[in-house]
Amino acid sequence: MSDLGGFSMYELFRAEVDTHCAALSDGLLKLESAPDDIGIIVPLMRAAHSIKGAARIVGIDAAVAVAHHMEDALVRIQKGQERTTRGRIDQLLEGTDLLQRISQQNEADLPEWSSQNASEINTLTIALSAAAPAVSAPAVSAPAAPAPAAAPAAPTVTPEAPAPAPAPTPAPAPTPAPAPAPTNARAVVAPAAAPRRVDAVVQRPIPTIDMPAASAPTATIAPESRAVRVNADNLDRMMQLAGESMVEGRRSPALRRALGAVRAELTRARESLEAAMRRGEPARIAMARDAVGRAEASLADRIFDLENFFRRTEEVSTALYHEVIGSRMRPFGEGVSGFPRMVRDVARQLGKSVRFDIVGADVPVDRDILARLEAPLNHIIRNAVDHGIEMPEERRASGKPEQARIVVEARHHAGQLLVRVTDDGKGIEADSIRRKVVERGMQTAELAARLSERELFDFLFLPGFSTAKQVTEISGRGVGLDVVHQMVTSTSGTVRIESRVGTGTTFALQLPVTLSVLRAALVEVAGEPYAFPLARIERVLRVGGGAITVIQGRLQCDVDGEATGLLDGAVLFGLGSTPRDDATSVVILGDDQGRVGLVVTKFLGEQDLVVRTLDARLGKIPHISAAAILDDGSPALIVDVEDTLAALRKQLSDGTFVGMGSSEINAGPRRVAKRILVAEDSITVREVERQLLTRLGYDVAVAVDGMDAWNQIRAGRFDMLVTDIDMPRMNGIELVRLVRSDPRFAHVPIAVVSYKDRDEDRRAGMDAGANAYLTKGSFQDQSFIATVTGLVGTP
Amino acid sequence: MSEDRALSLAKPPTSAIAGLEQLLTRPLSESDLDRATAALAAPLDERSRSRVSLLAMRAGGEILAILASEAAKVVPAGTIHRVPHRSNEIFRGLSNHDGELLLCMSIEAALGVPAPAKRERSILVVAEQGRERWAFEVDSIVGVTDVDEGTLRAPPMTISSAKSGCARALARIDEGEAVVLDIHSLFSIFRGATS
Repeated sequence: MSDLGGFSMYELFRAEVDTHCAALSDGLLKLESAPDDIGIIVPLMRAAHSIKGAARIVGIDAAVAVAHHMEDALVRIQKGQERTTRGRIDQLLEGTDLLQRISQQNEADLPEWSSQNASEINTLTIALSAAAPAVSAPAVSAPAAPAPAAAPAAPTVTPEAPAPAPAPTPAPAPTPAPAPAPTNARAVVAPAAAPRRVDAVVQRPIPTIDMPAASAPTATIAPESRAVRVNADNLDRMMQLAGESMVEGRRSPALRRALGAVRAELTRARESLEAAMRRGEPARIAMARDAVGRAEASLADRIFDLENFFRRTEEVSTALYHEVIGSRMRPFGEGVSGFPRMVRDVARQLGKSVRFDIVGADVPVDRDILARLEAPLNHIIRNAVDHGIEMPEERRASGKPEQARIVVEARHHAGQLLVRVTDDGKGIEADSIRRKVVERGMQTAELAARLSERELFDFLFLPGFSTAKQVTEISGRGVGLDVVHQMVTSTSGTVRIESRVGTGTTFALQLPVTLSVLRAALVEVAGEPYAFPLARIERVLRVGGGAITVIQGRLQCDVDGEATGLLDGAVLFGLGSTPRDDATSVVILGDDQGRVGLVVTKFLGEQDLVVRTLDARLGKIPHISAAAILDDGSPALIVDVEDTLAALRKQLSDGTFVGMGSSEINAGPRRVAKRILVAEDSITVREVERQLLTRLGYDVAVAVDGMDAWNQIRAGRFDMLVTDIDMPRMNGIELVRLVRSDPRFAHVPIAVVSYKDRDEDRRAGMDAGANAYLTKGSFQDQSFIATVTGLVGTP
Repeated sequence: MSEDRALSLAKPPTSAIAGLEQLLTRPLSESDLDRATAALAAPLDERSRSRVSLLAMRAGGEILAILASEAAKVVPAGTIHRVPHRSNEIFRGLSNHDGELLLCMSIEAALGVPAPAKRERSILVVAEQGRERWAFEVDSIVGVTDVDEGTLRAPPMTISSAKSGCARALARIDEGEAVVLDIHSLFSIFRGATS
């Protein structure tokens, strides 16, 4: 497909459908509540019309047909040719869903998808062009068989008269068409003017570029070219500021010239003064002093100009920075636009009546936060409708209005985004959770009795706790609240439940306003800066040498009365070890499963950092989540605290955990011994070599043949390879060639040690890339040791 | 060819604009003049067909070159931050330049030639092919040189095999023999070192 501004037409179509479908969904729900408000219809007609136009441009006929029939139906309502009925609203909402689904398909998958869904598309377009159904809409999934003469009366579900049964009642048959329905399942889609046949979603071929195969990876949207929405005002301001920044930048040559002129003036004045003083002429000295004074005044003026320039530049760059950060913000309402529809559908299915309100739809929220909020909010709201809200008769019996209310509210408070989901349902019984906690052996009855309501509600966020059927019945909540908790903590936020039995429940989420800017504690590890998200660390502290004690050979210190094990940050990052002085700098990390102290070289302070995604080519880097650029322009890496704690736990469970040992206390910088790999199939020779090298202080690993050595070299880091020639599976010559052919190891010194002492053997080893060729007799005459130290240096 | 001249390839820091102006307005050397005259005097089709523009640089005690069209920019090297569990002999770490975090590689380690223990003043060459970019440190920039494609020679087998197949050709330039690197192979080594 052709491109426009770097984005494919299909991407633009998708963005347009997203926008208009949100408007359609929202407007149709309003129309349902106020069927006589014709003013609501015009924007809906415009939305359907716009989608039709966009679909026509990208050549998706099915979307054209659906949007066209939706527009026609809306026009009929607007002209008073038909009344707004719930059935028609259902059809129009189904049409909206269908358009959304079409736009969400991969471009290359559309033909196949459309042929699979042609029947559904045709059924819906027929229904839309038919007379408005009184109640429930025709099921688009129903076979497109000849329509019955009249729609059967489905149970009417209205807020005023809710159906007694909560089970959904699918509509049994399509709505009758005014004209005889086509007998062919692949029905004629009939816009009034030009009937069109829709067998599939057909894309018109674009002649210039080959269409990719359906399964081709190119069909997916490349991350680099993804389109994001930016507020137009925001974009305008960014452009203004960028222009202003350029204008400011152009002032610098003039300032520089002016400063140069002042310097020349000062030089002349100084020379005049020196000359006058040499001659001892008071009048000339006075004149020269005047000249110096004037030059100084000029300098003061230029410094003033320069300060203005710096101030202005800083203002513009700061404003530009804030605008760029602001461009990541989207109104909260955009992220929750689908919920009114979801609440309506779920409530209708259950025979409940629920009013859904959004407060703070204009509150700006980081687009990433907004995207991550959708699933947890969906979960909480769905659960509220499903389990929290009582049936109408139950509400009536308890003196509540039959129509329940769910409110989603967003606001900024103290630099945080607060999102509250409140329902006026039956609430959660804390005592029931308390009983369940005891039954499941999670706490003793005595301790459980002392738990506060809030502490009890926190159990609902534990994985598995809420999935138990009994708990669902007791708490009135559904499954998967641990997922909500997981999402919130992944953004360094918090979530808590407030509930009163009989009154309702509130889920209060506190999240960062943006993920782009991070308040971080900066530390130095192995000579380089690292940042810890402030919200993810418990505290930082300096621990005196005396406060660090040894338990089972591992260092620990006391933090708030709790013994906390220490882990060297440099070791964790694979960057050597941290030298320590009288006081050790420790960052305390932890979660509900425990805490650990990460030893760092020193603390550098606290700073707001703009979070930068790491290059995808690096993959997921252990313990690191992102990067940032510090004030001095140098890069810093942001520590992934969750990943670090998870890795730590894994090491503990695997038995591979390397905490800080007692030998490391006040030991100063630890020298890491050079690592040598010895490849030798003879166990005797291997052991001789290992002992010789170990005695010298090298860190020695052994391999039993060439293949074993090659695998070890690729998996670890070695400073040198010592290898035999005659070995099973892979001989030494092959091994040396392999090592030399790989640029990662091309620099590693290699010494061949063999019984073969002929010249041709020696030449073969050296030609393969060995740095030295020794015979096994070299063990006796020190030449082995001399060669190794000569090639790799002292241990 | 002076190092300063080569730096003119990059957007200079604001503070260096005056120096840059001097650099760009300096008189041409005789050799530059002769070369430019010869190039202009050549018939049009020959000129367009046979000239290859190279960015030559010094690293590992040798003169290396890449096609000038493969050089995105040449910038002074800033602080390089090692990346835990990723940095190695070839992949040195991340460096910020104009807000872009560049993946910095050691060209010497990639080619298997000796690297200096510490560079007094290093320069970062950012090579680019399609959307893929890699930066590597060099000792200095020799300059951009046009050479006749016909004068390029195949590297001897010993060089091509010893240097991981990265040597594409040898080019004779004023400063000596330059090894023209095959950017595909070089990027392939870089990719291998970061994966």
